[in-house]
Amino acid sequence: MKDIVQKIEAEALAAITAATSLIDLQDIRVRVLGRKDSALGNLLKQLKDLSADVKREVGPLLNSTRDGIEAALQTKTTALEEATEAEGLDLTLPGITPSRGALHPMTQVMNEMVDIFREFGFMVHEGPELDSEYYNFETLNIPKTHPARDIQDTFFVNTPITRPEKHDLTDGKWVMRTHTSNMQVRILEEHEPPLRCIVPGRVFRNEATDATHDHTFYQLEGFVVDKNMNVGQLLWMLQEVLRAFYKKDVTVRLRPGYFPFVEPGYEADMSCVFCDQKGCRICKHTGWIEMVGSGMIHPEVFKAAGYKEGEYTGFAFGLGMSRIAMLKYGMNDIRLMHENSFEFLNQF
Amino acid sequence: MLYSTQLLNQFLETQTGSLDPEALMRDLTTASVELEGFESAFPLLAGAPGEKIVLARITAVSKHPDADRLNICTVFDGLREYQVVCGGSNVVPDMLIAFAMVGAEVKWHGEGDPIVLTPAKIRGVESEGMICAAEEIGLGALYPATDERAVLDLTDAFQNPSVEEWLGKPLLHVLGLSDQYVLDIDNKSMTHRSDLFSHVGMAQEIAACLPNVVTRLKSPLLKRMKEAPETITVTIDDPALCLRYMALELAVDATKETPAFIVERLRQCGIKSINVIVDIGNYVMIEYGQPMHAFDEQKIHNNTLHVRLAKTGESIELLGKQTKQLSTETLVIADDEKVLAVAGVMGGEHSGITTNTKRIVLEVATFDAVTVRKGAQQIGVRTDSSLRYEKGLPEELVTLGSQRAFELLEDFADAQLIGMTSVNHATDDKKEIVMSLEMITRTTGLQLSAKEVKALLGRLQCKVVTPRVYGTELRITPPWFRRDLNIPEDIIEEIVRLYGIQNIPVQPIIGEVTIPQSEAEYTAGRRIKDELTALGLQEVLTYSFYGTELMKTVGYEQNGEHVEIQNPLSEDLRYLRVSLIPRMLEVVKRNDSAPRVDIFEVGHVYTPSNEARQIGVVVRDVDAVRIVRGIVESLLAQESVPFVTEKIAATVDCPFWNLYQGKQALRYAVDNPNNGDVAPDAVLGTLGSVSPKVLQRMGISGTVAFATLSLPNMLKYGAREQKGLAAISPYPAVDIDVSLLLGNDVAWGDVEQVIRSHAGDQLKSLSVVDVYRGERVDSDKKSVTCRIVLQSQSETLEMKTIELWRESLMRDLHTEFGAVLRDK
Ligand SMILES: [Zn+2]
Repeated sequence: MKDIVQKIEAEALAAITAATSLIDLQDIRVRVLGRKDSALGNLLKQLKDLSADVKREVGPLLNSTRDGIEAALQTKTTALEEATEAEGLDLTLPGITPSRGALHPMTQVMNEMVDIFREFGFMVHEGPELDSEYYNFETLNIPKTHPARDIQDTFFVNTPITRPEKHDLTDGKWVMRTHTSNMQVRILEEHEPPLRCIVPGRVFRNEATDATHDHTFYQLEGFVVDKNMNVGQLLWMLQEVLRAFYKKDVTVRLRPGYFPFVEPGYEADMSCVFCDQKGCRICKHTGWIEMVGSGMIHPEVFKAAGYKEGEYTGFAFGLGMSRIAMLKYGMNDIRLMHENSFEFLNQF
Repeated sequence: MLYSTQLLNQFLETQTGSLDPEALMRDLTTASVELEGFESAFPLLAGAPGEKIVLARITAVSKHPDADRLNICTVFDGLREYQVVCGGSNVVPDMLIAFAMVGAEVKWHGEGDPIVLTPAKIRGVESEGMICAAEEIGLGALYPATDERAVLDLTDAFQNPSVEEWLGKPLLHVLGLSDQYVLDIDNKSMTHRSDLFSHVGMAQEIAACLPNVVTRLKSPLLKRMKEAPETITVTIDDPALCLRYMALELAVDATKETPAFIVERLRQCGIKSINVIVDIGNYVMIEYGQPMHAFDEQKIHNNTLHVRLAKTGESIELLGKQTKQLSTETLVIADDEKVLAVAGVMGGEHSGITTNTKRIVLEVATFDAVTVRKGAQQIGVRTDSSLRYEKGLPEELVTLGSQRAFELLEDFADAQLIGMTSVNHATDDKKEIVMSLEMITRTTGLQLSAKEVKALLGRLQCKVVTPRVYGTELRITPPWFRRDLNIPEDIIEEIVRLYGIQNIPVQPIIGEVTIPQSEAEYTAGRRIKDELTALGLQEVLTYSFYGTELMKTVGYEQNGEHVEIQNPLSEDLRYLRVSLIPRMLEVVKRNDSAPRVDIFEVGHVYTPSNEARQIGVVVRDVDAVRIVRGIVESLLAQESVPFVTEKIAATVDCPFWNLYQGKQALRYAVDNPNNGDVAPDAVLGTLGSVSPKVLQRMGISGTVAFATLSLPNMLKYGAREQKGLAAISPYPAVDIDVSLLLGNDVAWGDVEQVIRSHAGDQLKSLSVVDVYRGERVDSDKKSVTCRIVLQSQSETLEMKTIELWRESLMRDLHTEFGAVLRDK
């Protein structure tokens, strides 16, 4: 009997030492000291059936054992309740991060911009990146003789392209789109105004790569077509969108700009949000940042899409998203975008 | 392009007598072209260091004790005297000089970067500053040196008694140069405005855009040339490429010095002085915008000039002695024997002007813009001349330009007119633009009266007619130099910028609101990217191009399906990707040292017949294949795409097998119980492990697996919209762990089939917990531990039922695969 008691005590004390939570201690208490079917409890129940001698000998032992275990439980309970740094809680140790995934910073910025336009009721189309000269140039009033169509600026493909298209484009050449404006006439052909559309996506220029140029970069084209759209509305739209993106009041200033597919055409500058127009490196101390090429859709573009002359007016604009992302994160080398180094990507 | 305010001022009347660059920066940039910046035409004399270059007088000169060619001068700046060691050959007492004090910046021999002056000891003698030669402070053009070692002598320039007041004052002010600036205007912002590539044109534009500035140039009064015989024969093969050609034969003195004002203005515009003939040609070009070229008359065979396309095999030695082959698309000027010039771009060395030239033939012509651009590209040379021709010059400039050139050549090169040949194919069709006032309001929101419009357009020298008294119809004739104004929208643009773009009323868009119909694949792409990042993957963006080398490295056998770029930037960018994987493997390599690599990309892949979005997943891990499978299947489940998998091997024709370890792959196809044969468009994607050979070639350590999925097919067969909630059973699920001893060649997929058919619809999940090969099992065996979770929708599964089920399963597994339970 004595041996049994000692064994129970030893096991109970070991379990108490090993316990790491209050739930563990509660379990031990029930198992060892509990009123129903516990190790020590059962022995106590048996005690009344034993002889007086044995009672006298074992009784105190049982009591002292129970008190000992009770005390150990109490001490451990207090210890766990008040666990201190010395006993394993060190709040200053660094965190252990679960493996997480993230979107590329370019995608993050693009999504942010796209979502702003969606709130204004714009539909989103990405369109093809390999496109015909017809949609990338001709329908946009960029004639064959225009410098943009030179081999120095545009990637042409050798391989005959045999995609099903609305028009017979087998005679024309195919190019890597030089702007997301390639979707303008495609969309005008397939949808009826009123139209609000944006085209975010990848574009290509045949130019040598350096810190500020890459042959692959990202744009967001937008256009609005209705019966009576005007320059004042273009200005409003740009101002609202940039305000939403930068979460700051911005002023947009239009300057004359030349793009063959708009007339009148404007370069839109945004009041510098980085210095509040006090002058900084980013705005070259002018207080203005060149943000958008824009203008009223050229009549030739409507004509190319088969619209009746003068029926609709519209405005279009193109945001250089690579540059916007670079400004946002203070990146000074555009090549980081496609290097995919984790040292870069893991920061976003 | 650079403009001299001094030259612009010649054509303008301003209140202060000269243009204020700050006002230009503000007003010209918003109304017209982008003024990128401006600086003093004499940068060394401007700013804080420039203030230290002052007018001073030499009071005493003595020989340097240790150097023959050096003098020790005492210089007085009105306040104190300085000791200056000077090598100038012309220093004498009482001479007025340009004195650069300590702290000033000068250019050694007029070249290189500016040097800051510090106190110096020259051959043992202290020297505080420098007596400057003209070229050392940027005045070389205005004050040509008499000899190489002469310093700038300003004595004659300041004869009046008040000179004492000027001593010590900054030279920039003393010489009256402080209002001369060089403007840098962005070429890009005036691509469609050929008239702005000249000072006259820019002056007219400034007068139109700036308040209180008017042009002085009503119509240029130039010296009329006398009638002269046609001494030069000119033929033009294709008049469309050359609408106007004038050839002036002139007797000249080519040895004359170019006048300082021309050299200086050319310098301000970034053009070097060559000789008086060439300089005058260039000067007229920057003044009026008309390029011209002078041939040495002696070198022209038979006094004949042909304007024609180059013939096969022809070449030209350009000025500067570079020989270029010509293409048959290049327009040239030739005599009966040889090519003399590439039209509008550059002349040949052979017929260039030298000091021996006695007679010249001056070409003043209009060439087709595109042809000149092509010619310049073909010989790889872009000149100030070709730059202007490329913008499309009006033929009217030819008369103006030739008259102005003749006037200057007569004055400064003793020119005499010997002969003149003029060919004119230009037609004089004055175009008229008809538009209404309503149109202006509709496009801009501005309400303008006919009178206002007339006044605005008058500033551009447009003629405006309103035929009826109360009519709103306008008939507008632009001036000859505005070839870019053709349609009403062009006129609207002009009206707006002159009225002030900032005055346009900002208006919110009001219109019909509909739910936008976005491209479904865009929306799906966004969702899939989010799902993949939630699964812990990092998004990457790789180039759409790769080259033969990468294709070989990853084991692509042929180029058949690849679209080829005709003019790639480099060989590694020649083909369009048909799969995202090769470039993604490069990303794995790039991050080889990272503890984990698990990436995805959603991007376009291209073939001649199709362009589609693909999802690529690449993972580097010992368990890469199983991780990729888990990702793919979790994604397919999220998108509710019913799928089946099938192991395919090299027996299926595919040019990419060498990329796959063991030349086998797992194909994901749409689960279509009604059709056993999987239609080609019902393939969802493929999964494989990268061949160790490929990994070795790329220098990637570890095990890498990948999968590609077709986004359009996932979208087509996905049933997200039909997704419903599965019943949640009230009865407990039971986990059954089984360790099977299997032959090494038994594929898990087959075992899985048996387990699945046994469990039926009570199977909640089935997973492989561990695969073990090693000491504790026979070498031809593996131990596979799997966890089967059973759950019934209708009852609690009793232990006895489970035991019976397990026994029957083991019997079947034993019969099928010889599987036995492994003892722990
Ligand atoms: Zn700023």
